[in-house]
Amino acid sequence: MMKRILNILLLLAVAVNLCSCSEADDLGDIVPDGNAYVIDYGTLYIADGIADRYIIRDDGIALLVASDFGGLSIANPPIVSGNRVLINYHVLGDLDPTQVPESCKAGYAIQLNAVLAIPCQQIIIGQEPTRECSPVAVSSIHIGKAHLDLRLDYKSLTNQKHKFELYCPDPDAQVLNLYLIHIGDDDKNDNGAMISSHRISFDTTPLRSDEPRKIALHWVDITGTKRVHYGEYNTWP
Amino acid sequence: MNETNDKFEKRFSDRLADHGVDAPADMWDRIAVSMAEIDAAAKPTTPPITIAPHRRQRLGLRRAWQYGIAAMLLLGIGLLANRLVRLIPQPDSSKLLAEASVLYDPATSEVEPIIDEAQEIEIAPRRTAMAVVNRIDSTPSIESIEEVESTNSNVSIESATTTPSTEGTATNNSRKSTPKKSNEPSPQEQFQKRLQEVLAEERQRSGGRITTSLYASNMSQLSNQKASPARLAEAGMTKTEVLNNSHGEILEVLSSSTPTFRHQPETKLNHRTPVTVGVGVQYELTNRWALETGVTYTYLHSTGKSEGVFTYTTTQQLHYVGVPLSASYKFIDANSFEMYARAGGAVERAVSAKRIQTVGTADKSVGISTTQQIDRQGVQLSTSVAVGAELKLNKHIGLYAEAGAGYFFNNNQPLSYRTEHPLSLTLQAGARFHFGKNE
Repeated sequence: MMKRILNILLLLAVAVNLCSCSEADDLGDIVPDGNAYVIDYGTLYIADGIADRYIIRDDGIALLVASDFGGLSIANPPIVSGNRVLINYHVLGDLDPTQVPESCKAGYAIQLNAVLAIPCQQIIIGQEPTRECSPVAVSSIHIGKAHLDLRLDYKSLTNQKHKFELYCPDPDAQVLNLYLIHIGDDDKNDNGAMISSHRISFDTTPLRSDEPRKIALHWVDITGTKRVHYGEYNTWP
Repeated sequence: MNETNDKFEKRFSDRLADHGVDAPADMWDRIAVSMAEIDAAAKPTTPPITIAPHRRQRLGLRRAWQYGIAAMLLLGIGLLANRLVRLIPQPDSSKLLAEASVLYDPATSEVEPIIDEAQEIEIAPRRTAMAVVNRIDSTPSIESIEEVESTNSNVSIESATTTPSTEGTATNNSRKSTPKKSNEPSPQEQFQKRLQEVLAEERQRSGGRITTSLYASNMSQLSNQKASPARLAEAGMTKTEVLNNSHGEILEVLSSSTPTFRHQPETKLNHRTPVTVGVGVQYELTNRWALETGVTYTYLHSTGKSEGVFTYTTTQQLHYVGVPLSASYKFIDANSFEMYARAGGAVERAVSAKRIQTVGTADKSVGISTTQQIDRQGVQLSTSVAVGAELKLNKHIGLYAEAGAGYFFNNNQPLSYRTEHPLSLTLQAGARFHFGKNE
């Protein structure tokens, strides 16, 4: 009888151990929210002398990277503190107040699924555009706390370099007119070249005010048509 | 003296008439013990027979499994031995002879057997010799040749020792056989011919050949059954992006006024053509019909790609092991070529199913990759029909190819090529190895 019980216990122990072999490793394979992924812009923040990495959202929420795939360290070029990033993450839980940076009001611990570093440029204020905008498709506009984030699609040849500039001739106008200039004169719509996607952020800190401001973004569409998008630039607490 | 003794005795008897002695208390015990000792000395001691209550011993689970496996093995060996014995069936010659003898029975037939001339020549000298012996025996005894010469000088010695000659056949009076010279087959020839025919028919009816095969097959879609959104979501192919709109405005979600916007990028599903490899065993029931079974392994690979703000790739890998069962009919069987039709089904079960999800960007794959095990339950049932041809390289080896169609039933299996294309063309090719009696 005792021998039978021991055999059953041994079988159970083996079954449990074999099951555990198929389980995911720790936090790396957990997808807490199923197939839903949270997307956000933010700024990478790494305090001196502290290994913790935070991503500060535009609304002041701190996201502590509790688990990631190693992407922050393997990204090329490397993502450093202060970089504008677009992240894909899952929330694991709330942060303890002692873990929240002083400049932030609250925080979450997150599992970082993917990260994209976005190059950031300054807005040229008080000047008119010096050239015409080459055709470009603006597929995404995000008006953040201190940034204007754009996703641009354009035709490109392998050996051609493209540049983007944002002009604001009158920063004091009631409606901020922002002119996006795509510099890629040799690429035409009908030359059959490949379309490349590019994300870029423009620092709008100099344009901030205490009141919400309307903005109008001007650009030339991929078909050669002039386009305008109107939005509102919110104030942030 | 006698009177004195009598008086003495009378006195004792009168005095002791009323005298009684009490038996000791343990007298009977001592008697019983002594009697027991006497009995023990007289008979050999036998142990007392005790009937213990029967305790039914429960057959342990382990012992039951052992008995069951042993019984299955014995049954399998017995069946296999029976089949092996029948691999090379030998027609019962006595039975066949009994059948064939209806045409000609030398014992009962009134027709005397026809003897060839050659046999006639062989037999005749023996019979002639017997006739000479008979004649010698019937003649008066002759003690010596000299006496013959003296008694009859006209009788030559040679005549006494007449050797058989062809003329002896004329004196042969034992049989009156007359050789018949005819072009019609003799009854014996007919008998032999009929025997050969019966043996050939018996071979036709028998089977028993075992064939093993190694093969690979793939499928090509005949039907297209697009997966429903629920099915895609269940398979993890549907991705949802939650865009925080409360602190900005995103052109991609112009129509949304909610703080957050749930965006489902479209998923592009790609199923690789499944590849199946297997080992088969075929047993010929007759010269035409055969049964086939075996073991198969199938690999199913699917990829779903969704492009939203980020790029999501879901790779699904399924491994199935199955047991097919089919019947085939050979309608062309030549020396180096045969064609057949096959129909049957299969039962398959997923032995491994996992899903690998990767999140990345359009330009750079800097994202997480996670692996999940897919819950697999039940079995996959399928049916198939095919027409095939085999090229026989030699008696034991052949190359074959089949073309057919298969249908996979809806058995709640993970999303795959089969669930989206349940009706498909199948192409199978491989090698066959034949064992046993070959025709």
